[in-house]
Amino acid sequence: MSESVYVVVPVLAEAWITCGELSADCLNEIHSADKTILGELGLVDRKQYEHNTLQLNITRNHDQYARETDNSTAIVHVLIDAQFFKQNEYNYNIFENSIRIKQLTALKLLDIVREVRRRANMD
Amino acid sequence: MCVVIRAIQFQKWSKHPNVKWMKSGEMQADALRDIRTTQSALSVYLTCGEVSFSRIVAALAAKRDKLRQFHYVDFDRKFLESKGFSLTNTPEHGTTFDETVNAVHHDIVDLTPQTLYDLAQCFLDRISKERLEVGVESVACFINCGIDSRHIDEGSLKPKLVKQLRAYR
Repeated sequence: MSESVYVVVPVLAEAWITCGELSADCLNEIHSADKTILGELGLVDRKQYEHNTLQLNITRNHDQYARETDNSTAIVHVLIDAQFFKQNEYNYNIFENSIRIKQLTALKLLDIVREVRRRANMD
Repeated sequence: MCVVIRAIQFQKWSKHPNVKWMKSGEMQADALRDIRTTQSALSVYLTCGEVSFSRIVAALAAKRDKLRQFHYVDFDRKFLESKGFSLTNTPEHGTTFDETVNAVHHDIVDLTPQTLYDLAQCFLDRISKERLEVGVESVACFINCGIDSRHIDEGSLKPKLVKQLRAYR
């Protein structure tokens, strides 16, 4: 994976952008089934993303939430450096514009949650 | 002693022998999905006073579509509190057909991702020491007793479950 590639994790801003403790409810947004993060997370090139020239293909339940609540502004797309998954020895499949992170233990999932929180509060 | 009961899906906690990449003692990420929180709280029931273990099992199993084994974890309330978890009585969050069981509904509150993981680790430790399950026949017996003593209204149950329960009469 190129160093400019980022994994897009859509989350509800209110829950994640906080200076206090995260709620355990955040794990309802990033969770696994059959030890694989549900849905495929988008892969983007940072520059393309910033110039808004790439259509994101995000198949997470947040899109459904946004449609149902007409509250798409509540969603933020947190960009995680794809190298995070490589360096921390996550197992994943890469497709054209997406990544599927699999073989997840609870600890590895918790590390993703921490990273999303860190990035959500930076960007 | 008050015992905290939480129903679980056993397969989300047990390591299948074909899953070679997981090390012994590791927890699969799906386990955290099995203890999904709402407003940072995890729903549990407490055996206290007149509410026995079997009555709680009956109330929870009666909500299912069909009859099957009931897997659970249990803890002495004091044990959980000694680990730093706080329990609050929240009868309004009880969702069973037995109002008396709903009255002993509690929430384990103020959970963060880390403390939920710590709690999950307690679950895993408990499950790895003892397989906590109630067999189908006992589950049927508990629910039928609940119906007979009018704790549970048979009319509220799913038709398939009612049919299966009759076979155990």
